[in-house]
Amino acid sequence: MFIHNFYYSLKAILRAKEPLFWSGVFPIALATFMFMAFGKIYESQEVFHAVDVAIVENTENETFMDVVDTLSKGNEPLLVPLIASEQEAVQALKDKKVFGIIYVNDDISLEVQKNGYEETVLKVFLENYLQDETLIHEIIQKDPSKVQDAIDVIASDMQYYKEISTSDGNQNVYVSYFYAVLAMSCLFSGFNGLDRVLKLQADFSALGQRRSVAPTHKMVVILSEFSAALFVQFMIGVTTFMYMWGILGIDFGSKWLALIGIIFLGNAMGISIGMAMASIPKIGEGVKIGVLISASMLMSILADLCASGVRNTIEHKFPLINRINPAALVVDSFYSLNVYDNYERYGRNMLSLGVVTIIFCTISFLLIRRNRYASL
Amino acid sequence: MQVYKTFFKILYMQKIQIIMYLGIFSLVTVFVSSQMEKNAKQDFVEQQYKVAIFDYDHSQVSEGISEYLASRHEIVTIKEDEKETLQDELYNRNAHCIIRIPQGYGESFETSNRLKLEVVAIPGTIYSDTIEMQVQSYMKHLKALIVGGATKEEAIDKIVNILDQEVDVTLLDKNSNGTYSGMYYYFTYASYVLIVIVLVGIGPILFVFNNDMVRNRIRCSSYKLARTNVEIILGMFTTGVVIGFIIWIMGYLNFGTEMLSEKGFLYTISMFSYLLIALALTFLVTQFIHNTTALSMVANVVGLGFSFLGGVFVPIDLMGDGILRISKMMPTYWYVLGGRMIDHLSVETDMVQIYQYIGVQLAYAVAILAIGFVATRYRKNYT
Repeated sequence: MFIHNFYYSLKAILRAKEPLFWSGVFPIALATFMFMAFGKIYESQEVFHAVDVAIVENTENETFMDVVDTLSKGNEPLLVPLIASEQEAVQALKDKKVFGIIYVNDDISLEVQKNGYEETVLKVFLENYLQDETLIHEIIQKDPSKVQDAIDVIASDMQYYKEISTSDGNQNVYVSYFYAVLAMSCLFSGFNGLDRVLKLQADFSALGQRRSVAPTHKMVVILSEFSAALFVQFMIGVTTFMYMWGILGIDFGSKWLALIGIIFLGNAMGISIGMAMASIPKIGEGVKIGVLISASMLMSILADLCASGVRNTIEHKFPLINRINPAALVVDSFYSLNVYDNYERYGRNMLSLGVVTIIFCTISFLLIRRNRYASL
Repeated sequence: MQVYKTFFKILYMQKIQIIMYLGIFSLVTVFVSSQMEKNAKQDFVEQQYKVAIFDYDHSQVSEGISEYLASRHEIVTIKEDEKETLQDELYNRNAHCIIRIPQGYGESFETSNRLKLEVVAIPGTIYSDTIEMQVQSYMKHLKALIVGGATKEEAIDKIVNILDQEVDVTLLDKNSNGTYSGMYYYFTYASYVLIVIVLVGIGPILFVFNNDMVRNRIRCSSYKLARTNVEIILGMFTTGVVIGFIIWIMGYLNFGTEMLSEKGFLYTISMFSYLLIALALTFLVTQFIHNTTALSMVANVVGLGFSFLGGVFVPIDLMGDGILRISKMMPTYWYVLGGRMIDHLSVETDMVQIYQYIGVQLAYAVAILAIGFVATRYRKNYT
């Protein structure tokens, strides 16, 4: 009987276009928009690249030009200089070909177009140069015999710090948006769960009436409906994931089995929420759909779907919300898998998702079984 | 005004959905705009990064470097020096860089077995490189002063003056320095809210009036078709104005009397012209789509598409040339450009250009409406 129900549920699910749109087409469209809008921001904005700068040398300053020359060479150059006239430099700045113009007069000054990371790098570089100059003047005044020693220290490439990284994983914070899209897709699988249980209830459709009088055990019916929905939603989830990874090139890490596990359990959780929502008696279909949409959207928004940093703010102010918000659990599972070497946090999140799924499935079963209707 | 009244009776049935969308999206809009600067900056301001310092040394050297970084950046506190906590804080950009000064660092500074200060950061990022440049600069100058004959204490005193050297930075154009006020973000995000709410709220009412049975019943009544259409359009317009007014009120609660300034006035005009696009789009979409679920799908896809590609959710400056060509086809692109000019309003602002951007909104609304009317004729001929 389970196989029979499973087969027909599968056929019905594949014919219902709307739930498939929300859990499949919509997340893919959303991920595409997001990728087009900020798929490359991390590389272009946060990763350090040598800064393009125009230099207008109105007064000859050999030392400064030597420093610029040194810093624009080597494996990791700081600057990409463009020696230009004032007019050319201003045009280059307006055309966004350079981030700033360094004017070498008696004093050195900087002109930029906006407040930005690259502009700050230019300012820090010039300040370093001025500080070197001031320091050497200071030592000349105090003890000229030690100037060469000080210059040697300034010119030496000794590194006074040690850089430490906390992870080898993907540190691109914008990837959180894509985690949130997958979390939203999992929650939207609830539409399928809702649709399946509504079709079981006698007070919603003639089909529900026919199925209610059938002698099949309700647990078998619910399990077969759940399994069929999960099978379809899991395939949709994997397709969405493969699209993001293979076509959009989002770096999710390489723990494939564990990643697929999140999609599986996330969709199971989404379907169970939808089923539980549908099982609540005496509430109209429209209200149930409305509540499911708004709850799914709200949970996804709280898990960074619309603005990165919401989940982080909640983590600092109301951490309990992140522990029980299924969308945040899915996002955190993807994140922890990507950046941590161990599976501790991932395991904790998966356990929470499993518990949520079991609770909602049980609620659904308890509300649906042995329903009696005075009239239909 | 029978049709007009009926319009609102049907609208009343949509109240939960409208309130739900208005509530969720407005919360997000208010949250995002509240995270931004209250006022756009007019001068060059050096980027300040969030730096956390774990000083296990508490020597003069460690306190000197801490004070120097505090003068340049925002110092943040991290609850514990644990790898997982540091990773989370770095990933979420709660801290761009974490400095760990080991015990005995100050004492070892002048010896050959000098301990190294640790910079915990995401490698290769522009902020970690900038902070590392500054740390390196401080330590290098301190060392140079000591080599130059100063004692450690003298060097720590003198280095403050040396590092005080600031370069003169000017802005090419004070009105386009890349920063925008919270009000700018509020009105920019409102464009997304408007598209979704107008489509989802007003669309279902048009379904009712577009229903063949209802339309035929109205046609055979004594009510003139032109009057029916005018009242429907009036109903749409009234609803749109009410939605716009609610968004304005929420803006007033957020920004106060600034909403009554010239800037607020221009933002309001710009928002209402964008509202006309949303209304025209609703008219167009309902010619092709006849059920609420499909409308909700279209509203979300169109709303998000306009917002992501038009520069609402992501600044236009960060988009590549290819995407920018697509962006220019979106009405939101021109709405955002207008908003940017309004935000940097000054006596030098070219007001004509602001009105041109508003004019582009109106042109989009007229064009979409025209396509809608063509679709109506097409539908009439083929049904």
